[in-house]
This record gives sequence, C-alpha cells and structure tokens, in this order.
Amino acid sequence: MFADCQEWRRTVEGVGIDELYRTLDPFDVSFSFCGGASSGYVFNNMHSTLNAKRSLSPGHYGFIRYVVNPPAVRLILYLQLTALSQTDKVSQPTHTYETTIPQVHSLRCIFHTERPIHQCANSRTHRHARAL
Amino acid sequence: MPELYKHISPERFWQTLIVTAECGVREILPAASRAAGRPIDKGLCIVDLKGFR
Repeated sequence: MFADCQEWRRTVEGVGIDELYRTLDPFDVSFSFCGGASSGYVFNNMHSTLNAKRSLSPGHYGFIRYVVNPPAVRLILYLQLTALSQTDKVSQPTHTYETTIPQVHSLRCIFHTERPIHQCANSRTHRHARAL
Repeated sequence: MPELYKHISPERFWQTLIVTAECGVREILPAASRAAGRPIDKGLCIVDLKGFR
C-alpha cells in the first residue's frame, strides 16, 4: 500500500503531485477553484464560512480543510499521513491504510451552515497561514 | 454542487482537493509546528454538506 501511495504521488493527474502543486496555488483559491476572483463561488463561500467561524484559524488548529466528500476526506488524510511519514524520513512506514483510517476517524469534524457573507478579498486567514 | 460545477469542472475541483490536502503536510503543519514550538500533526476537518447528496 505504501508503494502504491508513492506511485500515486508520482503519477497523479498525469503529472505527479509535485508538478500539480506547482501548478495550483492552494492558498490562491480564487485562481485554483474558479479561474478568477470575480467569479469565485467557492472563494466567496469559503470565506463566508471562515468569517462565520472566526475562532477557527489554521494557526490554532494546524490546518482547515474545506471538503464536501467524506470518502475523499479519508483518502486525502491517508495521503497526507503517508506523505508526513516521508517528510519525517521514516524509511520503514509504520502505518498502512488499514491502520491509518481508524486514526482518521478519530479526527473531529464540525458540521455547520454557511452564511452568505460576501467579503472575500485580502483574507486574513490566508495571510495568517502565509505568515506562520 | 450544481452551482459549484458552473464555475469549475469536477476534474479541476478534484485537483484542488489534492493540492489543498498536500499543502497541509508541505506548508501548514510544519509552519504550525514552528509557531507552536511543538509538533502539530493533527487536522480539523470542516465538512460542509450543504447541497451534498
């Protein structure tokens, strides 16, 4: 499974995770999601979410994930954890998908309702994440 | 989701999910760890299910 994960990272979307990461700026949601700030549906809704939950910040909780697909959450978190083991130079991985997913289930999730706050420019959240 | 997909293709949306997840381990968790002075290796998922079927 670990080898499969590494192979996925080399080949994902036909270019690999490194190239994909260079292509899409995860902090520039106006570009990454919508191709322009003026049309940013996700951009607006993401920031209204964050504005509605001001107590939540990447600096406090590590990172905030905005997703809509629970199975994708588990997959992505698994990929993160395997990538984390790589960055920590763990040559012999101690976890597999089967052992990781139960840990993922222990992560807290907050369910909430969006509020339409149309204020998205100059996100403090993004600057905060950049500044950390 | 229908409104979302007026602005972005499902493929592009999936790519942004991948990249967003990757930035957690590449940038945010290390930065949060440095800021906190201790390892930060946990995440908080906010799952917005509005419109999800």
